[in-house]
Amino acid sequence: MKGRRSAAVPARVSGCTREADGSFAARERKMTQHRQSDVLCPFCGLACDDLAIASDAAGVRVTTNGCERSRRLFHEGSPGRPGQAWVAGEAVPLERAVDEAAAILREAMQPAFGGLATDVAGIRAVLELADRTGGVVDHLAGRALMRNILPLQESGWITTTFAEVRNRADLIVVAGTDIVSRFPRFFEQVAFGDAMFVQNAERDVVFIGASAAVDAVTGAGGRPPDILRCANESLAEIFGVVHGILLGCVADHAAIDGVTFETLQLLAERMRRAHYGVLAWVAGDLDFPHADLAVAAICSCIRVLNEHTRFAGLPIAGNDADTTANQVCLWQTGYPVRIAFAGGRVSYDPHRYGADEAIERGDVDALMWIASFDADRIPPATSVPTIVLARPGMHLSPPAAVQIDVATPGLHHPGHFYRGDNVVAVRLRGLVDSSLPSVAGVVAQIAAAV
Amino acid sequence: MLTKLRGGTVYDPTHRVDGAVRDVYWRDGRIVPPPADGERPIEEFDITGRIVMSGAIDLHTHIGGGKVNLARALLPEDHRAHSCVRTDLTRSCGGHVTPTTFATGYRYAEMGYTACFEPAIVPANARHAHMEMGDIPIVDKGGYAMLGSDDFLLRMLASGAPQAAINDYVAWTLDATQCIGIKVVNPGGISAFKFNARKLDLDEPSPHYAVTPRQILTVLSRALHELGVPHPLHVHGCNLGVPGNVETTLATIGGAEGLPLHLTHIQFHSYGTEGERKFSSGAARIAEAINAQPNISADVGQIMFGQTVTASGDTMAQWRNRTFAHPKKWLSMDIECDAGCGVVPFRYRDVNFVNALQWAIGLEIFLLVDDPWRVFLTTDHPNGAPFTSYPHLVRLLMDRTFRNEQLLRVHEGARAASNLSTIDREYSLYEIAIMTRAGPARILGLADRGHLGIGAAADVTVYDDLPDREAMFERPALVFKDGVLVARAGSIVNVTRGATHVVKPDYDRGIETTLRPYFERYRGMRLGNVAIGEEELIDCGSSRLIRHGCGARAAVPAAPKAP
Repeated sequence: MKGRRSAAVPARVSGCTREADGSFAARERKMTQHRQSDVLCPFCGLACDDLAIASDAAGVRVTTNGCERSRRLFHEGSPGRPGQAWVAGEAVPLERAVDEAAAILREAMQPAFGGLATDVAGIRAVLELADRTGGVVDHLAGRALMRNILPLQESGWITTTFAEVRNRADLIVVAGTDIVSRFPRFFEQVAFGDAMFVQNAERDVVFIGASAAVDAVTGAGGRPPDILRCANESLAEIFGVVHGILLGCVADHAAIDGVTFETLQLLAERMRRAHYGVLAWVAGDLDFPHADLAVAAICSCIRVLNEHTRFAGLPIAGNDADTTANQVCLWQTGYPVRIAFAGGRVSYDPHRYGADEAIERGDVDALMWIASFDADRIPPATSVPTIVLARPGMHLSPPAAVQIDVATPGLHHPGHFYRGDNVVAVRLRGLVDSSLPSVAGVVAQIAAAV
Repeated sequence: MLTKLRGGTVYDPTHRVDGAVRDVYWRDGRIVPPPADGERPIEEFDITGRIVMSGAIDLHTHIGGGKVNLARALLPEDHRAHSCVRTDLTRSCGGHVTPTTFATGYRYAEMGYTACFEPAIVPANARHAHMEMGDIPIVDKGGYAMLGSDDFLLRMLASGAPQAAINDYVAWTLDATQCIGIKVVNPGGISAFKFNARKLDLDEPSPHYAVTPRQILTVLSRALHELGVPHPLHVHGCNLGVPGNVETTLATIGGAEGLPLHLTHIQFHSYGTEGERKFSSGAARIAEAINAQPNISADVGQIMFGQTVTASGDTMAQWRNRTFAHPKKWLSMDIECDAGCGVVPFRYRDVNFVNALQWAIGLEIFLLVDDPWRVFLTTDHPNGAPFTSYPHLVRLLMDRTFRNEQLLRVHEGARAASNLSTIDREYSLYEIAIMTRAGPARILGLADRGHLGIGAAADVTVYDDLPDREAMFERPALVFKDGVLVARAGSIVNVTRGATHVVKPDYDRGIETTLRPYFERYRGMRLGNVAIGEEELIDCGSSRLIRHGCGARAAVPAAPKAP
């Protein structure tokens, strides 16, 4: 209504028409150039919405804003490459691939539904299919998600969202990550954006841990960040000691991986003095055993700090729609990802229902893998029959039992996607006309055939 | 297709029908007059001896949005302990205090409810709320957008913006979030908490903005009035849960300046400080104030004993309540310079003085407010108790003997501190029909719901007339949604999709010239990506959008149209 979309081109998803070779080519497509502004990017959890793109026969190009990742993934999704389906590596019509996928799921005792990199409609379709066929449901970032969910379910937490960070944070402590490797524009868009209540020059950034690219990060206000280098494996102990200092019950401690007690005392004091402090982490970068305990220690520090000032956690996520999958799972099943449907009920086990782990243990006898944003997100190696719904360009060797090219939400069709602060859901637009089917569409077809 | 309910005893307060035996007809989802030409109905139900009411409407139930999902994330134990097997018709589902979306729709429909209103939609989270509610089957939904701690409004107030500009912002918010009303939660208090304030009284200037909660209440209630939005400002006042807050609530009522105000979960705002425990019932004073001021309505937010979870936008109050968390875990979140959310699981215990008195205070308010059109049956689901406890609550209101038996089981001190045992009133079926159907429809401006007049939606509930009112209201014999039989004897027999109720007051879109740079500079979003389009709402899961009319600066909320 009322022309809210600033897009010049209405979003449209055409149906598939099958060519003689079995590929699903686009219906006649006008190859004049289209320019669109205020475009939302679905390729990381920041969901930046200030991109401009141009699309023509040569492809889709990000012309304004964006980052290396968005430029690559918008471009790879360019029109002109028709979709295809394969059974055991052989090109087949879509219907045949759908029938084969349905046959695999029919015969499976317990399939796994993994990857889950799709939009809300895609997750809804997968959960409906899983509810019918039984099976394990997990996101490709499930292991990382659990590093946050376990401490949340143990003790709860205090968190914040991007706009609060942008407008209020006078101290940002970053634990175990550079953030930018996964969320390239974080400091530009979130940490140092225009603010209502704080000057950028007043903001301090402290990195703790073994993050890769911290040297490249400087504050927009000009102040370089403070960097406390240590192995990420030490973060649980470090924040455990900081927690003790904040509580006033730890008076001394040996240096932890080169970080002295005096350094931690100073850090604790800075955190106490902040008016609105933020402790940010990226669970995907805390890749070591029992990393949930590091997150738990961080959350404990935040709780204590709030006795006297305001401080909040920022567990940044969202890539490949991990927060999207988690939200839909929560409202439809009551649980985060890592669930299983069996005997007509749904159950949740953060350890047992990891897709990778279930495959390794031989608990599942088929796998449906969904990766609609990035063709690099390949399925885990397995001998069980695998159905892959992926963005065009995923090359698997040996080939999957079934592979179907699918559209990318936010590029080929509209959809809903959660930003990485877990609160704001955005409406992705369809930017180019495409014959590629959506994940929701293919899954519904498979479900109808099961 | 013509459907006939034959011989039922009808309670339709909108048309002053109080237990008359009448046939009810509908066609294509709408109530129609008896066919004149002797047309035989395709479908006929003999319901002689049974009770007929329109479908029930819950005007305050937390069924969608981030806080509900956060509560689920926090409490997997609620779903482990309560799971339901899928059927050919229904999905796997479960949960008791925060049921899954599917369970929410099934349980509401089984109880004869056909519309539910989510009262706390944070604008930044509105898209989520609609998607989540889109997966709640059968019942219609609607929401109230939360304003009052959002920095945009506070900046307007601090800079002395005219009422007309505030009206435009309020109307834009209703439009952009696809909501039917506006709620204010601890006016200014959620924002104040972000500036490290731990309390904010009605006339206390807020940190940074120096705006008082009273100012916020005044401009928002006036905005809705001037825009002609049927539902008055939905107010979760200051000082929730704080002993002595009855004074704040009375001051809020007194400060309404004759404008309509709806005070939500008023039980939590009716506490005195008398007695040795410094906690007492303010119910009588609150009821007296409501009885005296026809511009005031309230829903109760009754508590029930047992485990539940409190999920609220009032981060300031939830921070205070964190020490009572049971089990010992809680979460809090500051949200997008818009609002916040706090989730604290809680177990109300009948052996606890405070909890027992809270229970009694809620019942006292129900029984002491004279006009059932202005008091509504809620538990503030799940904050006071899950919505599935409504049938029990109905029995407490309708059956004095049962109520007094329950009173004997609670903490002795609380029993002594309450005058509940002296109240003889028993609600009639007619009054229950008012407070769960006709009343909510009227105060929300749903002209074609909450009654059985010609042209109304065929949302119809048929009950067995059982002496045990709890059993009666738990499992209605038949429930029809838009004319389709969806539940029979407490079991789902059809799964349909509900619509979304909204209002669209006229406003000057010039407000977007101020909103656009604000969102771009401070919220990091382009305005065009913020608003939820009507076509988008269907993708969220709604079957359709139902617009309800806004009066032109009506003096009181529009009354339902006569049949």
